Amino acid sequence: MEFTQEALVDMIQRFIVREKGATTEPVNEVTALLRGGLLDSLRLVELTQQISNEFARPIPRGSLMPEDFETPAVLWQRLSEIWAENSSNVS
Amino acid sequence: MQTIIELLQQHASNNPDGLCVHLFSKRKKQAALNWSQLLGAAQRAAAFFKANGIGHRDAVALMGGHDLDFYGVWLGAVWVGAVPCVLPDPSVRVDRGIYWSRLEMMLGFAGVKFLALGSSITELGSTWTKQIPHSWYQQITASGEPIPEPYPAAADDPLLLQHSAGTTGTPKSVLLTHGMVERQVDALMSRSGRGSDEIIASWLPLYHDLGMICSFLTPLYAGVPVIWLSTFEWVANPSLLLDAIQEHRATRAMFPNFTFGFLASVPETESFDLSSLRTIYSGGEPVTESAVRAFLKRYSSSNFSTDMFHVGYGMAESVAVVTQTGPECPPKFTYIDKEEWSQRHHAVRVDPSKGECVAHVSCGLPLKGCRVRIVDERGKPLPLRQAGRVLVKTPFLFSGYFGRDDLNQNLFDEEGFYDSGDLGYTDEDGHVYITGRLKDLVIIGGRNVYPHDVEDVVNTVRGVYPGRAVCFGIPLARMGTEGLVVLFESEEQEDAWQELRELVRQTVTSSYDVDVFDVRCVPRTALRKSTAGKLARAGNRTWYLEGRFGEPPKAALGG
Repeated sequence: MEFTQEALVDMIQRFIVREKGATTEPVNEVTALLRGGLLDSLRLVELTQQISNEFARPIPRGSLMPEDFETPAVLWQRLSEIWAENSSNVS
Repeated sequence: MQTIIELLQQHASNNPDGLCVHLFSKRKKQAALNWSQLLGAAQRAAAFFKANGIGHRDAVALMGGHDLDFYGVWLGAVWVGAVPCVLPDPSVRVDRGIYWSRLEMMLGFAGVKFLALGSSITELGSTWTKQIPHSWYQQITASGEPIPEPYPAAADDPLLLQHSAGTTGTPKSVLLTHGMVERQVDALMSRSGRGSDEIIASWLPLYHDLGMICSFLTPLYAGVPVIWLSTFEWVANPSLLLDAIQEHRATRAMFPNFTFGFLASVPETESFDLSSLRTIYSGGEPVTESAVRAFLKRYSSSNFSTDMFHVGYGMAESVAVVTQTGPECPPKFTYIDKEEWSQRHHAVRVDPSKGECVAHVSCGLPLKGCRVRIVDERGKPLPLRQAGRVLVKTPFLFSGYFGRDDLNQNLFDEEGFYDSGDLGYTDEDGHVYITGRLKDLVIIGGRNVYPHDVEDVVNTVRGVYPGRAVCFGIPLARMGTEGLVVLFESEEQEDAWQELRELVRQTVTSSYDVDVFDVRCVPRTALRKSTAGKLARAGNRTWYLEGRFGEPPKAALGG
């Protein structure tokens, strides 16, 4: 699947509905994932694995911190940087 | 008594180039200090504090992250006879206004004279805190002279101020003296049989008593190195702990119970060489058999056995650890008749293959000089295997909460035993088992959450019927910890309940930085009351698990 911000938002929405149940407002790029209580610390790891599986790209250990999950937009930005770094390292 | 400063000087003299602490990170540049470098940093920090008028019994608060300079600043404060207290770092989840206002309360209680700030604090968040003299760790350890003579601390001089491990609740602090800490460290090392070739890997936060005592002070006293991970970085990447163990050949690692579940979920495709590990230390929350088995199964190729687990029980009121397993007394995994336990709190051993049972894991024997007594509600001692209130008396027991005379009445019985508020029993070998709590405390990932405080904040949410919110913990077997459940009544129409639930969840998380496992809205008068007419936490917990408020999530039922 192509890694776009929309695709990431959609993926997070599905994850949250599966883990926590339906939300009143759909997740969007500025939804407060942690402060809003949608993601807890024990689910950060599961979400990370899910993202890696869904977009078929590895996320190097230690490259994500809790603040990277503040909103989907922040997470998308950080993942873009990680995967850009990894591409340039490989080439 | 040798003070911690004398020991630091000794380590720097005997082993100047030996590793003291290595900052392990995949995000930040890794860095390390040897003993000689740490001594230098402590001396410079001491010179800084002295030059700024900080001295004997002055409280110095440290906060703001996983910085190597923390070590020098902490020891520099002790060098001049000041009293360091480590405060929680701001979490990305907590509302900043609430965080700073809670911090003001803690600083006020402690009478803090100076704030030492790590790199994760870029500015102080409240007008009041800005008025307290402050500086960043790097500046404090940058340079300084003349180096003052170390304060000649006696055993009853204060060493540090430890805040209770509570996430919520009015702050309670315990003043630990040099003598108390030295006796605790000595008792721990006697039980653990720690060798001089130990290397410890830890992610535990240092504002928590277990982290402060077991992965900061005890290694400093013993002169052994620590591979130190940031708590926040670890939470998002739990297998970092295994990387640290592998890369640095750590011999001991810190594993509160939920860590077992966390690490058991690391994909099988990732493998680690953990052959250096000799001890896994677990404390902070009860160890569960299911979490341990999941971990052992996942890492079966490492041939771990439960004998290498050092399971500890204790509280900040007695520095940190009162009972612990060890090489001479490994943890006992005992299977108890379920019916006899639930009806009479009597732990009768059964063959697990023959009937319904519950598994209990022991917390070992009392440490050197420590006594544990199990009593009924009137204080009368109970027989072996009969659960009751756990009273403790130790050579490092506190004398009362710092600055809180309102809490210091009737803390001890006539023989000087302190009522821990926990429930448990002892067996014929002297092993202690902690099985519950008198207080309705919830422990999530080793952190204490007080239901009363959560209920108070839920009651402020518009749409929640005032005074009609209740919360409690339920065991989450897969996660190896507890989950917080919040129930509340509302007169709003049912189509508004979804939004209300989300608002309640958000309010609790941003107020207290706690994970909320489940939130349910119920109609008026649906919650269970006690005979006294108050909301019954235990009763509502039973109803919740029975499905009276809707089917609970699978994880609540052991799924």
